[in-house]
Amino acid sequence: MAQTLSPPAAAAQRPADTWSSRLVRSTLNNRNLTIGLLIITSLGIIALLAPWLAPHDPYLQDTANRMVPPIWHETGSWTHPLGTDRLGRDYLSRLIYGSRISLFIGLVVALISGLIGTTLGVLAGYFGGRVDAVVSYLLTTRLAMPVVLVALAMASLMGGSMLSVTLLLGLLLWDRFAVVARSATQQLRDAEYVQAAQALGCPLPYILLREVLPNIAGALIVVATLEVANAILLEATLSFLGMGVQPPSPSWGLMIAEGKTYMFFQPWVITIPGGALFMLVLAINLLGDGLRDLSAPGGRNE
Amino acid sequence: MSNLSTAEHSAATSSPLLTVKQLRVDLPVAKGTLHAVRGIDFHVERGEMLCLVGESGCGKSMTSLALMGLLPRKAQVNADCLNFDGVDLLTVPERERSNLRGARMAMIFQEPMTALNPAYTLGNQLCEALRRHQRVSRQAAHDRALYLLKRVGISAAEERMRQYPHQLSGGLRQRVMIAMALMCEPDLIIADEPTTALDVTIQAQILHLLRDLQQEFGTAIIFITHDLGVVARIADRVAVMYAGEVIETASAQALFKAPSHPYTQGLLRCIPTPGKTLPGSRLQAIPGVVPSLVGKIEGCAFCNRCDQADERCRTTPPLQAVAGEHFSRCHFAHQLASPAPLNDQEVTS
Amino acid sequence: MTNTTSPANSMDPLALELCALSKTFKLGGGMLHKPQTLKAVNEVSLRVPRGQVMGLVGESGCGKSTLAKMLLGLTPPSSGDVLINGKAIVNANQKALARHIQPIFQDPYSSLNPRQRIAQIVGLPLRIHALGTPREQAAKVDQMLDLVGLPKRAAQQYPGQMSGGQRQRVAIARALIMRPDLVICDEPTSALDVSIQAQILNLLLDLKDEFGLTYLFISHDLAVVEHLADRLAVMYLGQIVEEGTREQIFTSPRHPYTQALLASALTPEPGLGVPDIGLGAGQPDPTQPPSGCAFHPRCPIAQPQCSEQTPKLSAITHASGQAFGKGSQARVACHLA
Repeated sequence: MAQTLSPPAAAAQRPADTWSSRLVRSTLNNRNLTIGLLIITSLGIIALLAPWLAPHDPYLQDTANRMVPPIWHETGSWTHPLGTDRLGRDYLSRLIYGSRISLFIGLVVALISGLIGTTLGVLAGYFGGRVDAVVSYLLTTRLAMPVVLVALAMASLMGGSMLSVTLLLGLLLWDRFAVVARSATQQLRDAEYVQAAQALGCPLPYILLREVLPNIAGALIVVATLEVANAILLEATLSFLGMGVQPPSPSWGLMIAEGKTYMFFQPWVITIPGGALFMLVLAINLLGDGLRDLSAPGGRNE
Repeated sequence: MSNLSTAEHSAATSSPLLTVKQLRVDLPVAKGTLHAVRGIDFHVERGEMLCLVGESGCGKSMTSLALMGLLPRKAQVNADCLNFDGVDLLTVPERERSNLRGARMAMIFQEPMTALNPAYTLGNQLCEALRRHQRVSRQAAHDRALYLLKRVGISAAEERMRQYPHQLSGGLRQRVMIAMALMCEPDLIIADEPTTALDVTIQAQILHLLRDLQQEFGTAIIFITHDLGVVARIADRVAVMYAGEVIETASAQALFKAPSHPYTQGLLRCIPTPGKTLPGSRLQAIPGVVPSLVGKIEGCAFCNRCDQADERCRTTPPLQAVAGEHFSRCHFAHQLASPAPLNDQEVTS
Repeated sequence: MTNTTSPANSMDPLALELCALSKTFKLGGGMLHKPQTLKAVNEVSLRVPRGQVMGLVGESGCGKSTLAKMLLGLTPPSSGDVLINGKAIVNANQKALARHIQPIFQDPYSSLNPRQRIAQIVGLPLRIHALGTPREQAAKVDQMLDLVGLPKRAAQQYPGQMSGGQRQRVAIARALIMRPDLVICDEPTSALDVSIQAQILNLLLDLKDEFGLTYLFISHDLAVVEHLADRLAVMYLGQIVEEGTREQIFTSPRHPYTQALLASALTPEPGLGVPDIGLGAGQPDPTQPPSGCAFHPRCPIAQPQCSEQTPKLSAITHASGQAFGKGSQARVACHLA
């Protein structure tokens, strides 16, 4: 066999060149990804450490100190760096606690809708035929629905709350997952390694979970980040309209709603939570863009 | 176009159509610089068929793209001389370069599926190929396209002009690509593995067609392939590439009768040839793998796989002239150029 | 690991037998037009003796890939039987079938899951079929990697870190780890460089001798098939048009298509030029097969009867029939052979 031995000299890797170190290097090279990650990580830490970071109790009303402007006004003070709202509650604390709501809902909704959408998409892509027809029908129906109106209608039936918002959005936002999972699976369906697994007699769940899913995960992660942003904005919308998280929870959307009447004379009541929402959604979109660049064919070894 | 035979034609004009000296192509990659082409010399006479043969990664496609000026911007192309019929391709401005492309130097790609634009009819693409470079009326372009389609063996040419690429089979699409390359009567056609993706009977037809067209139009062709069988049947001259270098150039007869480089000999030995190799026997494979082209290579790139290698191979062997126009980049070139045919496998176990 | 083929099966001289195997697909179709039928495989009958290499030659659209899929159990036949070791596989459980027949595919870049390590890929058959303890499985994987000429550390690598030739070795290791009787090689060297091809062909021959395998070797490269195969079958538009031993096919091909194929195979001999095959530029359309003999529109010697009557694949005696020995039946489907 000596003649046929071919040591993989050409493919030899330097010891430090593992998959993880290459990932770190690609991340640092991608500006979008780095900025997005930085912002989101900071917000995540803030959300986790809220009880220790917030200077005051976000629910504590102090009617003596209502509508105190933030620190950059002449009458602002460091006790309330971002001012207070119409009930005297510290804005900075409400902002910090509000990040928890946004992030929590964003992540959980992405998880639920991801599960639903990926399952439907993979099944449609793998089996084709009738299964695909059924899923496509469901998809078309779902795409024909105006999400905000349906969510509003359902919320008014179920009553607004964090739980109902999460469930509703989770059950409504699976479409992009399904579309991406379906087309990615279709491309893989005839890949020879899938055929090889079938020829081995691998059971169907194994093929879908271990052969197909890991290879479409890249595309799905990108979709997931974008759906998180989508969910956060939708929650803010629903809360603004009164059908989402209920007062006195410090949801950013609710804070904007409560500040509606003061829009022209005390604009900071709206601009501060609005700005926070903007930063978060921007960061998530940058992260999604960065991930898409990473998982594009040029960005990886294969 | 002239009806002189290729031999007479090249004798008539003494300077080669294309001269390449020390062409180097470097590509920055994640791990450093990929030296895809490491200083190659060759020339193409008018009207001749030069085959550039080598395995994957040897740099033959990079060479063709460098000649056409189609490499990505981050690629660095250097050469001592890159002369096409008096035009210095290294210093010519991009505008003139793109005028050259298609008009005097045309390219045929490997994948007929993707090289044609699916959104336009064939007639449209054929005529555009001509009208971009020459001021001709639509009718004149149409007529020439029809003529060429018929010449490449496509029946019902008028109807085909109105069809889209997806309506044609692979073999027909490749014929259309050949017709498109001929629209402006180029002096040089670079064909990058044009028949690799085709069935073997279709390949034979396309090769036959190319040879015929070459005789008729006097076009020089650089035919890039990895298939030595194709090379033997159609080439006038051959340049064998390995790891970014040209390691042997010779006429087709000389190369196959007296290969003078261990790699060429190794290649010829490991191809199963009906009638020559004993069926069921072990093929004489070349051990080892191609060295990585990222970073410097000291000495001869083949020496780690060569059974003749010795101390001298640590330094890059110079190009040795084995006979008239037969060159080999090996210290042992003269010893290897033996008259006995090497594919005599009947005696091997 | 015990050999699970029962003594009765391993004595069956035929590793593989196909009886009038057919596969028809329905394409398109909608409200305005009827669906088209595509007969990818049309009444194919073949016998592959144990321990031999049967070459299956044909160009794109001839149905050889569909045939391979049916043998592997990946698509059900529309009609006909497949017998492996004398037993029909039509109702066989996929896992049981997998013990006897395994594939080696063409594209080394898509035949291995890019997200799994080599050890996982090669060991997958053992895990799915629950053969041995994890330690025994790991030992078998190492043994297989060694047999195909890969170093031990390859086990922890990913396919993306390997060259085409190495990946093909991994594919071979995966196919053979359960010691099947029959291996379907679907153009295993077509995507490889010539110098690597030689290594892989040598490996395939060595392993065949070592394990007593039977190969169905599908290829369009006649030189490779001539080197490897004991018997050959030539397919055109879903049918076998000629079948015989290697010598019979290569020294005296009877069917015009086989002759054209052989003439198109360009050997590295200078000065011979490219022969004019004379087949015409038309490509066969599997959805609209010609009447009578499927080859007649392109056939240089076609006669009127060729478009009226479909020739049957029937046995012929070669002129020098004695030279080829007993049992080396040849068959041709041509009115004029």
